[in-house]
Amino acid sequence: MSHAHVSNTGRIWKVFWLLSAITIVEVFFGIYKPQALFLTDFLSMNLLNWLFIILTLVKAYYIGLLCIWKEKRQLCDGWL
Amino acid sequence: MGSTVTTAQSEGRTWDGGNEPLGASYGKLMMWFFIVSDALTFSGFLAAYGFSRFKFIETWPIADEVFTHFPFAHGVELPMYYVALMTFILIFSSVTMVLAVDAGHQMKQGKVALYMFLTIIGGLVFVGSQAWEWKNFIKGEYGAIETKGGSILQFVNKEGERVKLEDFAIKMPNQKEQLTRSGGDWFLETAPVANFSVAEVKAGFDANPNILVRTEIINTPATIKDAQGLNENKELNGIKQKFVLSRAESVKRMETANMVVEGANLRHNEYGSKLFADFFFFITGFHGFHVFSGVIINIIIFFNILIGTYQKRGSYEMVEKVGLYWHFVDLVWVFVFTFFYLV
Repeated sequence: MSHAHVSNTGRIWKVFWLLSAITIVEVFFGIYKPQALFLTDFLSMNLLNWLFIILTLVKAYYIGLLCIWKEKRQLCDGWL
Repeated sequence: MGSTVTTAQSEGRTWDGGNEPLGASYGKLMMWFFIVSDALTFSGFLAAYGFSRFKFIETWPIADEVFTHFPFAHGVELPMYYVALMTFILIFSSVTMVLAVDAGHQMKQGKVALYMFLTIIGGLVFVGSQAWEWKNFIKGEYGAIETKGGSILQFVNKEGERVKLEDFAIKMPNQKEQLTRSGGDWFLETAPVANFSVAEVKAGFDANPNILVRTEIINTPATIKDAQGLNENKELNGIKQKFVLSRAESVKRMETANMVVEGANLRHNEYGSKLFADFFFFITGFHGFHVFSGVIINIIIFFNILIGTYQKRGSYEMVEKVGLYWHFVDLVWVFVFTFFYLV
């Protein structure tokens, strides 16, 4: 683990905007509920719910990234 | 004081103490253990929620219809905007927390204090928002009738728009008065009396032929087969919407009315399946409690930053540890948000 105290501020804000954007997309789909997605089932769940769950997992990944950033810096290098 | 932060100098002496598995110090590793066990607890809650929801999938309330409030926007239905705002606030406070950790690595006391302060504000706003959300949920909006069989009957007009009980119920001379502790012996108390009695709602319902009953059952290919007495107006019964009954069938269902439900508590709620309110209170409550504890811990650490405890110690690891916890709480909220409000 490198102890070079480089500031990550730029990347932190990038993650923030990404998380916000995903949330906005989720809310948009939640309010408008496009019928094509809402009424089409895939593996006994509608596509809209699949979309929500996948976006949630993406969000969870980036929050985890915020968190683990300092623990194992090398994990994150090159991904953002 | 220096002993609270361990530094690894144990190359070749694995078992001599001071070792840091995975590059995490003792304190941090313990925080990770706590987070893992807490994650299992929350997973258990959400799994239980999922199972119960699937068991009652046909009568589960539609979140968009339940959470429609926004501060200063009375009478306007704004589904989800408020929870979305809460999500932003929590994500933002998570970011200020990383920034505090980042500033801590550079030993900038002032900056750590500032970012920590912002994190605390974010946490407080979030907990406050949740309290407001609970208040609206408990107070209710439209009111409903619970039948003898325990199902919920809501009311709509001919256009399928929800109607509040107070808009059609006919006030009669009050027959029932709530007994409070000050009104009798100190140990005697009755459950809160609803604003309307069943008789008043029934009288209003009979006097207004335009009022229809909306059941708690959702229109799906599985439920439409057995549905009886649906409204003649097909537009009122869209797919994945709750069934609206014909007037004749509405009158029939109203005969089974047992009690008036306004808002929600652990036993009854006006939204639909009883378990919905139970899970809502339990899971968002448990999460809110975590945020609240986090705010308290943040405040303690904030004061320690101000008096220079960590500056003297030479490390802001305490901020990192509470940061791990804070991100975890944020992570849990992301899942709660999805499964309670979106899906």
